[in-house]
This record gives sequence, C-alpha cells and structure tokens, in this order.
Amino acid sequence: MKPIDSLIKTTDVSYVYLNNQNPKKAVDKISLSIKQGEYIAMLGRNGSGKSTFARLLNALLIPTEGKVLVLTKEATNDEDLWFIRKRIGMIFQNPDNQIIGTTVEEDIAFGPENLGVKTIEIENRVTQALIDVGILDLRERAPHMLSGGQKQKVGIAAVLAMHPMCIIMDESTSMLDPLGREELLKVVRELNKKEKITIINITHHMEEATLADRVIIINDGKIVEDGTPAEVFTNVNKITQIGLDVPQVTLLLHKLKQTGHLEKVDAITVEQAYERIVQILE
Amino acid sequence: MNNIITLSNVSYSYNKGTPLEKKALNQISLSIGKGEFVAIIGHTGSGKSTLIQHMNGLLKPDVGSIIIDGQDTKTKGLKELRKKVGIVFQYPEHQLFEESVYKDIEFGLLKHHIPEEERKRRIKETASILELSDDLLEKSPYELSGGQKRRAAIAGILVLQPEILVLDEPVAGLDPAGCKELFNIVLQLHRVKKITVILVSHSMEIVADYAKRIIVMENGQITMDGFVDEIFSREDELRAINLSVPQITKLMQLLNQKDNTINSKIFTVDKAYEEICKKVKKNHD
Repeated sequence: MKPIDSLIKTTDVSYVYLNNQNPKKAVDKISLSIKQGEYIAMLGRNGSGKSTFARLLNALLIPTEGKVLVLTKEATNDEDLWFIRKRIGMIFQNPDNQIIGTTVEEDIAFGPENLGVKTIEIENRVTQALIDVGILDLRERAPHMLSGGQKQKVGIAAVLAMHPMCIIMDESTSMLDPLGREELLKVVRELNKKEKITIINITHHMEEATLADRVIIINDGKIVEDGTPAEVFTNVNKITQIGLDVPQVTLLLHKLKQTGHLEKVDAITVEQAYERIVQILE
Repeated sequence: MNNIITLSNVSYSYNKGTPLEKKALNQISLSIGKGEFVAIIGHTGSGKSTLIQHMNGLLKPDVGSIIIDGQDTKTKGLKELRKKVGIVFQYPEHQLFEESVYKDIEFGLLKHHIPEEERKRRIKETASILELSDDLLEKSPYELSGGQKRRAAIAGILVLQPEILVLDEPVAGLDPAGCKELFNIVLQLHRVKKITVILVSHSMEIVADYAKRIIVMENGQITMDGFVDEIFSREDELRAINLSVPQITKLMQLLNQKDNTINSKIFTVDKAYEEICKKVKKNHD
C-alpha cells in the first residue's frame, strides 16, 4: 500500500450560519491540505471561524460551499459520513460535556460499541487506550470524581479506542491548570510521534503553538498564516495586528530590532533568544 | 494602609465527619490592604477557590475568623458584605440567564432594592466601562460572542460597585486581545476607583503584568507571600510545587548566569528590553 499523502484536503470550503436574521460567513473559501502524521496548532481570535472550520473537518458541519475530502471520501452520504467521523476524532473544551459513562471504562467503550466492534475487541481497545494515555489506574473510577486534566485524558482515550487517524482538540486545554495542560500535551505528542496520529490543536496559548510542527492562523474565516512556528511568530507586527500574542522572548527581540540592536527576529524559545542576545552583548 | 481583609487562623474542611473529609484550608492568616492588587497562585486543589469563597461569606471557617471591612463573615447581614465583595467565578457567562443583557445586569440591583433611576444610571455607566453598546444591552445574552458574554457577566458584578473585586481565572478561553482588553478595564477600575483586586490565575505572565503582590498556596496553606519580584526570584521553590516564572524571566536568569551584572529579577518584556539596551550601551562605551 502506498503511503497516504494527504489525510484531509479542503477546496474552497465555506460555511455560512443561517440561523439568525443576518447570515454570517464563518469560513470563507479555505483551501488546505493536511498530511498524515502532522502536528498542527490552529490559532485565531474568538469568532475567527477556527472552531467552525474544525467541525467541517470531521463532518460535524457540512460545507455550504466547497469540498472537504478525508482520504478519498466526502461526507455526501451516511456511510461516508461515518467513515470520516471514525477517522477524525474530536475533544472539546469542557470535559464535562463529553463524558457519558458512569465509569471511565464504560465511557471509553462507548465509541467502539457504537461502531459495532466485537465485545472482546472492545475490551482490548479500552485497555490499550488506557495504557496509551497512561490512566490504566483510573479504569474503574467514576468520571465525575476526576480532575479536569484526568477527564480530558479520558476524552482522548475515548477517541483513541475508535482508532482514529486524526485527533482535533478544540481548546481542550483551556480549562486545565499548567500541570494538567503539560501532561495532556505530552500524551498527545507521544501519540503523534509513536502512532503517527495527526493532531490539530486549536488553542489560545502561544507556548502550546510553539510545540507544533505547523501553525495555521485563521482570521475572519480565512487562513492568514501557515508555516512553522518560527516563521509565523517572528512576523510580530502581523500577529499582534490580528490580536494574537507572540512568545515574550520573540516580542523582546522585535523591540530590539526596532531600535536597531538586531537585524532580524528569528527566535521563539528561551534558548534561541539567549543565543541572539549573547551575540549583541559581545 | 488599612486592611480591608483580615483572616486569622482560618481552617476549613469539606465533607466534615465523613471518610471523605478533606482539609482545604489549614490555619491561614492573611491581611490584604485597601487598594491592593494581589494575585493568588497555586495548582489545582491547593485551596485557592476555597479561600476566595470565604471572602464574601459563601463559605464560613470551621476555625478562625474573617473580617471584611470591619465585618465578621460569621455575623448576620451578609447581603451588605456581598455588595462590597464582587466575586467573578470561572466562566461567569454560564450564569447569564435573563432574556436581555440589560435585565441580567439589573438583576443584582433589583435584589438590593436600588431605585429605578439609580439602576439606569449605574447600568449605563457600567456598560460603557465594559464597552457594551446600547444595542448589545437589548440582545439576549445567548446572541453575544464569547468575549461579550464574559464582559456582560462581569458587568452584573461591577454594577453593584464592589470595593473588593475577586477574579477567578477571568480570561480563561478568551483570545489574547480580549484578555488585554479585560485586564485594562480591571486596571482602570483599580487605579481610578481604588478597588481592591484579588486575582486567581494560572498565567504567570498575566500575574507579572498586573499584580503587585503574590500569594502562593499549597496544601491549604500560604507558603509564600511577597512582592512580585520577591516571589518570582524563588524559581526553584515554585518549580517544586509545579508553578513556574514568566518566560521572559527564564531568559533573564540564563543571561545572568553568563554575566552576573545583568539583572535577573525582571518579569515583563518592557523591563527586559530596558535592561538589555542599558547593557548594550555600557558594553559599547
């Protein structure tokens, strides 16, 4: 079998919300290709259309115009719709809105059960998902007694048990504390590296975005930046104009460049910025 | 400075007398002066939320006492106290319920029997501070964007003209520009109206940008309490309890290890910029 090049491909995809007097075009002709195994951070202001776009990728929403292709399928009939949803899993912002089981184990089994997976296979998948996320000890616990970070891990495990090719995180770390956030990101990074699962992390946190291989910025329903974190965040004027942040050290270098202390801004981590500043201090 | 909040030897446990009993606050003593801007940091479960719920009498101490502006929270008449202490909980927009934003903001005023003219005046003033336009006030809260909803919910607290404003993760889920807008409003109230602000946040960058004093909580106790520069220079201790320092501080500490004449007690980008320019100039002279 030849390797799959593009996992998700959108062509001029638009989405218009029609449910009030003035229809709003939330996604405006986005064309984008996402490869199997990529780790993408998606940023944008509140209301920029990034969540709408994400929901188009796993057929929670169907485009008003344009095409979304997952592998070779488009969500034009029920069969293909399920083909897509099985492969593109999603976890949301509030863990309490997506947990349904009375025990962690039951919650994780829910997905594969609905897919018609055989009982013995479900058992295996649940165990494997718990191991992959590192929460085997929580197996029999009641989800409502867990911390926010633990609940989001259950959410990830529940998606994993459906054997997805891609996991979309829609601001899934925003309710977590720094430790919970760090642990969840570690789990996701591992899944990306070891299992080659594609990750799309929608976030407001710049430090999370700097961990990705690729950063996509959406503004007014359009893609305005698409590149490596270094390429995107060093474009300080543009990013701040949109109303987003850059890492503190990048902002520092930007200020130093404005006053002629530096020729270019090319650092997004503490270590990179350290190198640059040591140079100008010598 | 007059103390507006004084906690003496406060302890509090959840599920008292059951096997699930958990001590959330353990002998806390703390004073906060009128007009201070204090940040409370600590990881989840350290007791931050339990502490702030004691500040308007939602929870009352098992042991010890809490005096807010001269009033013990164990006495009667908590209504006045709750007008004085406005608490903005996490995701306050989940509490919006009225049919219009105006009515939602008005709700607290009605409960406090504020006359109609005064209600109108205050709602207008608060709406303008929070940049909620007239046509927004007529809308249903559910038609607003995330940032607008958050501001509408905060308006419902500010309209009661609290002297103490407690904010629990007020910008969680807001984009960076929305976050700055909201903090500029809070800062304005703090400076102009001299409101005492108590901020609970996980973002060390936000804490460094806005607060003057930091209280660190761990296991229901206060383990550190001091000015921002004092606390952030104790990075090892913070790290031990899973907290960190702002990114810019990490950079300045690295630079300080190479050249110890560089000040490492720096917590904002502007200050770091000044320090490096000073250093570059000195090296060139």
